Amino acid sequence: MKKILFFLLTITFLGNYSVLAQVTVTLNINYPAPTYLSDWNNSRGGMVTVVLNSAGQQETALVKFRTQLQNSNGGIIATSKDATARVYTIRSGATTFTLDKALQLENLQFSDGAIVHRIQTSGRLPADNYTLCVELLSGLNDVSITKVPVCRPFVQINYQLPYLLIPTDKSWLDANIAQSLITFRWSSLVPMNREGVVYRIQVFEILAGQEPMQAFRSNQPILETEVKGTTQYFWRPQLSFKDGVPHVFIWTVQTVDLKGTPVPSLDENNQGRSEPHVFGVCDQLKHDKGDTGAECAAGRKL
Amino acid sequence: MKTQRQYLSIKRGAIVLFLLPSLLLNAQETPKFSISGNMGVSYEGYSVTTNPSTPTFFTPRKPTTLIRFMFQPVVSFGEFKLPFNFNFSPMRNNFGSPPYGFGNLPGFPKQNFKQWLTNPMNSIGVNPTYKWAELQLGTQFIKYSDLSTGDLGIFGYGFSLKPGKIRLKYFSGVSQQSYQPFVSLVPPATFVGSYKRTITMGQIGFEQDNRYFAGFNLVKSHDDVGSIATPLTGIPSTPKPAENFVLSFVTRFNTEKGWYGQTEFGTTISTRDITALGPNPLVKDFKPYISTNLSSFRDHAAQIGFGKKGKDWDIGITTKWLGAGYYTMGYSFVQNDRLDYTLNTRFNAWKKKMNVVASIGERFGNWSNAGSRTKQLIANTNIFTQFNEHFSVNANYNNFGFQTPGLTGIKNVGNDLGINPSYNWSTTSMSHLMSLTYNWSKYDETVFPANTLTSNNSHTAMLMYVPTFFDKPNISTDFSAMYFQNVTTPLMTKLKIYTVSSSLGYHFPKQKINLRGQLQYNITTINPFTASKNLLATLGADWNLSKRLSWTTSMTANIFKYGNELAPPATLLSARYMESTLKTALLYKFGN
Repeated sequence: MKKILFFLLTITFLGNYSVLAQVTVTLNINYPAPTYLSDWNNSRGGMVTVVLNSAGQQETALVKFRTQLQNSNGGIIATSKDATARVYTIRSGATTFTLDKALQLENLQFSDGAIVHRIQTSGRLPADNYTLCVELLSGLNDVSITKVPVCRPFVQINYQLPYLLIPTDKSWLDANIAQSLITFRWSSLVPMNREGVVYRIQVFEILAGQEPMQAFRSNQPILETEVKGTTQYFWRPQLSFKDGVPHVFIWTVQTVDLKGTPVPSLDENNQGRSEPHVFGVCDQLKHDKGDTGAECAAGRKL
Repeated sequence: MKTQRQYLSIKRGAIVLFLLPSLLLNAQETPKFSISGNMGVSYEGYSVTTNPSTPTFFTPRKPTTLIRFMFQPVVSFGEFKLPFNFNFSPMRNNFGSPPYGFGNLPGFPKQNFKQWLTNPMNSIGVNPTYKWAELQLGTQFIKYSDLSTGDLGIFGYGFSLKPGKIRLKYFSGVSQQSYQPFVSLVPPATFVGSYKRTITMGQIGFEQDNRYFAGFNLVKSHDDVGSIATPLTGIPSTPKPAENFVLSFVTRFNTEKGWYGQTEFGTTISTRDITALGPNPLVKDFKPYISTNLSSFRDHAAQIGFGKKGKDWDIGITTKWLGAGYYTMGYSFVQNDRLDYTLNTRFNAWKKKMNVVASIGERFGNWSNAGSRTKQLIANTNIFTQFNEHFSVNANYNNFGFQTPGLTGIKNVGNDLGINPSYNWSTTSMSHLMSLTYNWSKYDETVFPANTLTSNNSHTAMLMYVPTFFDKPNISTDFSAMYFQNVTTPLMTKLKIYTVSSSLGYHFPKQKINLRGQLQYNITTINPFTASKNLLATLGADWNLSKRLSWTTSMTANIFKYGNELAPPATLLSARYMESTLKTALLYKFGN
């Protein structure tokens, strides 16, 4: 029995050894890296390709990743634990892995408390340049297969969506001016995307009896237009505002890249939309009272 | 035998339950039945014609037809109240929520009953209330606090109990119905789908009306993983199913001496992807409320405000901090990772002839990252002065300065100054009101991708005249003229707008009809293009058909003719479009 076991182990070791010399690893991380570490499990962010070349024979091998995360100065900020790394089976030819398998967040030991704090509180790395190094180990004895780690630099960008500047939230505009022109301004996306972005301004009318978010989520926008580069838009509404009733609107800016993909936000359902603001247009503005400097005599509240 | 006994027991219970409201009501001396509120229906028809019809240069900005029904009576019987809030439409637009305007895409599945019921367009709720107990059924817009939940319509069930000083609230329902992904080849479009989202919330606290409140809020939100059969994983992909837990502690107070204040401290645990692997060595579970995985994170927020109010003045300060990972599905659009503080004041001066409202504050974005922290100054002042019964002036100043650090930083700085004098005088036959508004605005911004600093200088002047005829009290009219100019440097782009406008109203007292009309003519030039012209005409009427029934209707025509800004192609030289809108509504008021 012992002889059989020894024989099997020898065969396995030799088999692995023959396999180990013919493995190549390619690491590809797109720019910018996925904002949230949990999004590294999506192939959109890049992938790891492991090629097992077994000279025409169908073979399998057990492998695991050894991971090292470096900061922009080359300092090591996290390393994986070999003993608890997940073991994968690869077959002859190419096997692809999503980046989370190479990062193995669940198995990293961080040496920088500030980075741990950021991941704990936001699910993201602090915005910076990093390098991810991956080494392939034998899944049986933790011996390095690739000998030299494969390293790829990546850029972590944490975007902050634009703030809406004017019209300010819950403010009234004079219908005599607003019927010709309403000016919208917002702050830029921070940091600015190096390819540039498109700001899609959306204005929704809040109909009588509707709550602002109800109108925002359901109505067709009365204005939907795109601007590039600038953070200002002059809207000529071409609407009848002097009909005796106040008109209330909710507006936002949707930030998308040049391909139309929304900038990542905390809630993916928001599709890159900034926190919306409400404003009203009134032809009977009263300035003599109120906490906001102007109230609409027709009685509708913002 | 046992079944029959059970049946009798259930029957007795049902009788008691059925009679309970009557017994409770009979306990009072004279329960009065009353009904108030209103109901109605509104229709809006919209059409647009363009010349030339191709190529497309203007897209419709309203649905062709929009019908909305409203049924909002409040039935009262003694201390029992039954308010209805039915506000619904058969339409489906959904531009700010799934299916994001795809509802009218050819071949897109029609919404089923559940989707219609929970569509944000529709609000169908009823809140039976007896003394301090309220049942909340159907669509409800429930605000617990600023850091927990508040602005979403949720379809579900719950209650609000206010016995004495105790406050106990609970609500659970669907804030977002599931939609399956849909890919269309003609026209090419991809709708990524959305998971069904359920929000459950509870509040326990103590309150004395208008004096103080202290309580805890708990909110658990959850996407149903099984609600989408095949999520899209390419580009674009289906948003991942998420989960969220919020715990916050809120206090509010008002004193007889005018002091007021509020505080709230909150913590959230958010799981960005329920299907991610677990456990998370960095973020522990918070059972039984939420189990974490590798996509989870936890952060905090705080909001503190206090001030003092007098008869003619008010001064207060508020500050709000939201951590980089503070997130609640109850306010899913709120920008986090920021710190705001604002000092607000309002006071009357000069024998109450002057009213001043002012605020100044700062907002810091990317707060967790000192190297790329953004800084925004927010300053507003509005001063209104009634010099005498004829003359008043309103002046305002706003500054919004947004900047990021570094030589390549971003700058969005706006300064707006406005002044609005009004003068009125009378003769024996009529009175006159003349109002002038002048506004100067300067806006400096960093323009990308050239990364150059651009400056916008705008001037707006508007003069309005309102005559009132003493011998023709049923006529109302006004005239206004406006000029606007914006110059952008260094490109020297000039935008000029000239507008003249007039409105006229007439009241038929016998027929109880109000007629009104408005004409507006507008010329816009943007160099180097020729001018575009716009005429807008509106005619409307309000008619009180009976004491309780009223009918309002209005028709608007908007004709817009471009200059040469759309050419080439040559066919779009002087292109024009015409929008026609018909709005009509019937409103019935219950009660007296």
